[in-house]
Amino acid sequence: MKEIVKIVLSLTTVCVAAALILGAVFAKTDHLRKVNEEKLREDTIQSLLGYGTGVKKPGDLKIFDVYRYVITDDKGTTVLGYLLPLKEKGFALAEIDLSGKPGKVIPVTANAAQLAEPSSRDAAINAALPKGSKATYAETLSIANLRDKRLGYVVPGSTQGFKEAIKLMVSLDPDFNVTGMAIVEAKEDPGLGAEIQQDYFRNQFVGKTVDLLKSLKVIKEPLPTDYLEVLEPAKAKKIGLTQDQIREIKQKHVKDDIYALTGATISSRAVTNGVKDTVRKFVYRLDILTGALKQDKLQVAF
Amino acid sequence: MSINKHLVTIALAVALSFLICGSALAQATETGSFKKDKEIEINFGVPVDEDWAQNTANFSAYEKPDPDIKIPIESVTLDARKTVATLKFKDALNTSSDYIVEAKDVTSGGKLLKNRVEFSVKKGEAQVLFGVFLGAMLINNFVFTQYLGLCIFFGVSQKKETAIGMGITFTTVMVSSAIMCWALFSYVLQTLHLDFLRIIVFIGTVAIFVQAMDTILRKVNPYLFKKLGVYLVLIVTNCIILAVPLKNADSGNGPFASLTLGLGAGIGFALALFLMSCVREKLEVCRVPATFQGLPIAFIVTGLFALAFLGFSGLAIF
Amino acid sequence: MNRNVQLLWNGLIPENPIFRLALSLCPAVAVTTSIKNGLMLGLAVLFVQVCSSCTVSIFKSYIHPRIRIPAYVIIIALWVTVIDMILPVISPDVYKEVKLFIALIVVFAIIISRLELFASKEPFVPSFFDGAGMGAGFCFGLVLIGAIREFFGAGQIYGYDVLGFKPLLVMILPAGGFFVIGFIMATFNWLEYKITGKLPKSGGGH
Repeated sequence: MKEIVKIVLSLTTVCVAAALILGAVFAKTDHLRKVNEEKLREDTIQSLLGYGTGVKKPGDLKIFDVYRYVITDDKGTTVLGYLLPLKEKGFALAEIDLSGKPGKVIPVTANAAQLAEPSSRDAAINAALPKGSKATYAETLSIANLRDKRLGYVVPGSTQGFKEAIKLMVSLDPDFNVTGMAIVEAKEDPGLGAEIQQDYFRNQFVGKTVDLLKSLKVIKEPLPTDYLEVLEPAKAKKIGLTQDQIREIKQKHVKDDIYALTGATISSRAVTNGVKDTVRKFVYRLDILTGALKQDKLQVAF
Repeated sequence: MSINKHLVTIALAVALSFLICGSALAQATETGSFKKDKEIEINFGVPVDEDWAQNTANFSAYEKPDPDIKIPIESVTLDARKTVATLKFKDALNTSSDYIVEAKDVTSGGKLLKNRVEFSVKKGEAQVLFGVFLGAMLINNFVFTQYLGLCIFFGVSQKKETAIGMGITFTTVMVSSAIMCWALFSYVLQTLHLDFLRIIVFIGTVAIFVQAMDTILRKVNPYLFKKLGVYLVLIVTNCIILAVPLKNADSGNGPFASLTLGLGAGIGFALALFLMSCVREKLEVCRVPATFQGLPIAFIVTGLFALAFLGFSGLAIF
Repeated sequence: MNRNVQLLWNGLIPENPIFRLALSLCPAVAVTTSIKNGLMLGLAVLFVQVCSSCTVSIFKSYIHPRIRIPAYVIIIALWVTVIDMILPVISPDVYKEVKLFIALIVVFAIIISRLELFASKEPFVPSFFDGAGMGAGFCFGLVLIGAIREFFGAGQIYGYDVLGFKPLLVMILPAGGFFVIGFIMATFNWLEYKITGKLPKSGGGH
């Protein structure tokens, strides 16, 4: 009997000690990890807008994050809520119902730092809503202004890849033409599906207009050699093509469909459909949001 | 006395896991299904009015995460018995996503039946499960494609007999621990926000389970224990036994998906072991260069198997 | 030679965990698609091995023999979770690649066997060096395999394009991993034969 007690005590002490140490380490590192993730996200957005590593970010570049939430009240009605930065300091939640009709505008008391952190942002929004309503986070849209003129948008999206979900980001110019595409997270086969992260695949989307995207398909043909050369900026520089020549070749191929990756048609299709859906939904939603803002005469920072 | 205690504990555990699975399944709402990539079929259960159904304004369809983006419906047709409606869409649907179809003011025989009925449409559960199973067993075979379980793989695959023994034992332990770990993760770790303890909890569960099986088998069926008992202890150091619950936790799989992944992984492992043992038995009587004998040639054979299994990577039925 | 230094050397070549003891092979194939990944996981294993060896060696008198295996597993799991939390802070993109294998360090036979065979019997300092040696040997093995596979499979070294084309894509795929390890093992056997004049018996593998 004494044996068993000694054993159990011994095991319990080890477990408790382990759990305590882990709890302490977790508390310390969790915050740092979130900071890292946020920085990675910001870097991706900046590089999509054209200010990647090595290019200095201009002082008058302002990136605004608009958070979209889905709000359900106690009666079961669902509306969308956009958390917007206002022109005069402060933030507001603009509600729009599912058919696009603008609803109430609710001021949200919080500062920018609180809103950047997911859990404190959720708390601030739920506190501003009437009792019984619950807001769930949907996505973050980024709007970029350079010298107070619209530079472009960066929109996140996700699609089901060959193995697991692929998270991507698409950057658009003010006319919603694609200016860049980045793969944020993908667990595809190296050498095959993982090639979606390479320049020669991602840059095929650059320059596609909204109309071209609507009918964009994936074709199983090899990339034309001249197109391949301009898709990778480093290679183009090595060969010695001039900016005019590069522009000419890109213009020649902009109406082409997406050339599938060798041995990774499913991944190529997944990303293409992901880009199409992301842009389509964003354009639709932004249209409704702009209309609602005009109707509500809400002055926003962007 | 102690045998009964163990049996009772095991029986309780099994009953509990079934209860959990059952309750999870019972939460299903009305469901519809995809018919081809541009059509959805919904079953009202009772005959509905034709002219009500044909008015597409009475229906709305959207992807679950985007309730504000309605998908334009081209037409709605009823079947002969007027209980099943088929909605046709202009653009192809994304069958790997969840959709919701809402029908408002459902009228039957001229009378208003219900104000609003919601149908949840997603890929058939059975299809998804079969896809998971096939994936775990062949396409993403844990040994040849995901390089897990190699530790045991090379040690036990020398004879057909040991391979089969290990395969059976492993599959049993795998399936049970997959379910138990899923239950622990969903109901204990997530609700208490103790996510980061998952590694300890999973391996702890496996260790306890293996110990329990060891004790039970020893008392209940000594013959089986003599044949398979020695493999039980080795299972704890098998990478796959921890990888499967971790994958289930990461992908947020439900109870049945977790079980199927465990089953597929176990059978895939058994398959790999068996194939390998056949080859290695033949290798014993071949003239292998001295420096290659033993493990080196085994690795190269595994490489050849891995190449062969690569052929399954296009096998996506669903 | 100082015993501690000998312990260090032991883990690197004569009893290299991957090529001679044939333990913990899973990550040897999976993670070695590039030097960077192999190095990161190797260092993580080194960390866990050294910490676990030291912990067990310090507390060996308090751990009851009947529960030593579960206790070892918990101690290993503890250090694995610690590194699982620290690594994403140090290097997020590498962490994404090796995430599953960090968690699997718990089931690496090499660590538990070292604890059982050595750390539970020896004092702190030798345990430290034994753990360091084995961990370093493991890391060395991963980097070696990673170097070969990355060079022949992707034409790169540590991410830098060296060849400009991909000679043998199969190297990056699982099959290539198996081939490379098989050949390296045979090479180690051949080296041992040349040096000591006798061949080792067929490897263990668990």
